[in-house]
Amino acid sequence: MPIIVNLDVILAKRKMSSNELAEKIGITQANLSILKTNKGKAIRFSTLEKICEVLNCTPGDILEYRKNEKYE
Amino acid sequence: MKGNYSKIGKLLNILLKIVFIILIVIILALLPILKAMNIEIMLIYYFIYPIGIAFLILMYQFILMFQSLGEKTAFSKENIKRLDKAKNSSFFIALCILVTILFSTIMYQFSLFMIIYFIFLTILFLGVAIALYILRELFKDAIDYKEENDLTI
Repeated sequence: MPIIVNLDVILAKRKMSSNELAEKIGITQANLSILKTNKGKAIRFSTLEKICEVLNCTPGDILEYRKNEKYE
Repeated sequence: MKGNYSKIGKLLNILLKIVFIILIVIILALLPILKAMNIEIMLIYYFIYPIGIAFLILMYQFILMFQSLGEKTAFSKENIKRLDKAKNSSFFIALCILVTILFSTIMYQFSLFMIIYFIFLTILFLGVAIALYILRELFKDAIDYKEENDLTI
């Protein structure tokens, strides 16, 4: 999947656990897990906004674009 | 998670199950009863079995789908398979009825009315098969949308 979610890195930097983050931004731990493991298909701007607010970062710190290596 | 459907829905559900049971009884009992009453069983009466079984399969798929409605798992791959089975059963019934027409015009003197009636039934079941196919495609799209929505955090 071309868009990678790099939550683990910044969670470690801010010394916050996933469960804590989920609670602070108001989503379930299951949903946060879907995000972290790149199984999500889309993220709402409102969710992204809350994440950046809580972690004091910018979307670029969390989202990364990696080109697909395989070409059909 | 339990879902609620309207009163008409509940009524239809019960009606469906009642008719299902009645149909099983009729299909199993009809020919033996006719034999017991010494009524001549024309070869054509044996078509009741394939048509009946196919129709029971069709109704059973609907009963299962009603169940999934109640449990809010309507948009699932299961229901797509059930719709496929229902469509195939309906198509099979249409074919059986068509064969019945050809069979009877060759073997018996059938009145024009009966032929028209059976042609109407064939077209009817073909229509049901087409409607079920369209529904299947719609369900498939709906599942894609639902997944997209469920995986939007």
